[in-house]
Amino acid sequence: MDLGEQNLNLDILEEPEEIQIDTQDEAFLKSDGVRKISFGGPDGRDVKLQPFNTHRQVAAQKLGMEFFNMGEEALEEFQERETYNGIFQDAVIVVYLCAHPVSLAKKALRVPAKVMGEALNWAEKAGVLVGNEKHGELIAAFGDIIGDIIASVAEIDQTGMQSADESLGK
Amino acid sequence: MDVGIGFRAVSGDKDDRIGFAAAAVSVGFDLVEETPGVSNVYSEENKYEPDKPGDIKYFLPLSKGAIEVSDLAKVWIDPSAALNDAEALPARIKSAANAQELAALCVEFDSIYIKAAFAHMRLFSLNRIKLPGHTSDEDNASAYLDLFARKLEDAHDKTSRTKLAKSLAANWKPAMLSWLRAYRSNFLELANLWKEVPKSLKIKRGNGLPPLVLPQGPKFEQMLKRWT
Repeated sequence: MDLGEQNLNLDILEEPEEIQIDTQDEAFLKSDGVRKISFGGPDGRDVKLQPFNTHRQVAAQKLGMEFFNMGEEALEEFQERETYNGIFQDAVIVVYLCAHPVSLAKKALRVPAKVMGEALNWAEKAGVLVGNEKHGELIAAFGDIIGDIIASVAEIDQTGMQSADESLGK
Repeated sequence: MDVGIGFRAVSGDKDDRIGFAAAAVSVGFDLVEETPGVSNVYSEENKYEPDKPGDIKYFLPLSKGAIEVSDLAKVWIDPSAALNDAEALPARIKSAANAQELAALCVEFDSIYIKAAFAHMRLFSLNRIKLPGHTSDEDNASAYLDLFARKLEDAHDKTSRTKLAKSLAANWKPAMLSWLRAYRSNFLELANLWKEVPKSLKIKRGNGLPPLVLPQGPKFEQMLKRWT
């Protein structure tokens, strides 16, 4: 090693990007048929849900989303009963990510524990409790989003390219 | 004399403030005995609301040995200067032309070393440094650099200084990782204290009255309503 080089200290990563809404999110927000929930926005108002895109999916996995680790039986059970063990946590994760700019998903990749804490505080502040109306709305929104994923992997399966199970990591 | 590190002393971010206190503790500052650790301070203008974080204070001594807490605050705000000083160390050791330059380096070394460790902790707190798995190299490196200034005092010839500069470079990164682990541990400890916040409240009353402290107990909620 050349002692004159600037490499004594540990490697420093670049500063993270500024918070911004990406163009994909803007296009989604302007389109018809936008999903909304009646709580969780600024001052507790309603909030439009943004796409559960790649960033948010990866962030959700990082935050410990159970759905991605579900076995075949659990997946079948979910499709039949529309619930599974851990669905509440998953719903908080996914809806919280979709209720915020994609920069939050990027933050979740850097500091998952912190963002998970923020997600729980968000749900707590909104008054989401198991069995109440907001809980039902949260689970319904989550079901819509996850339903889209299941539908899309099923479509791929019909072409013979990829099965839903493979797509879910098995 | 002690100093209270406030939310606004460094920045408005609670984690940032805990991070600063954790980094100071890591480099040898002890929280002052009567540190409230965590105290929520509410008043007529700043009323308590559920989940409202309120205030938090860590009392630190103004200095520890030759290190001033104000210098650490400067490093916390701008870590780059401390890192640059560290980067220059091996070359300075190698090129020390006389006993005077060597003596100056010996005096400066510990300060540069600690400030570099502090700068690394700051960048780690900003998620700009990855922390790999622990190795025993880190403990050895840290012990080696703790005594480095003494070794430097005896490095009178160029060959021994070159050798020392090389061993400094070899031990630097593992030692910094060791500091980061200490920081992480202290941060978690202080952050855990923060979670206890709602269990006691300190309410400013003004008009020369001492603050009212409400510890959690059977009448906590009742007292809270009465005083906020």
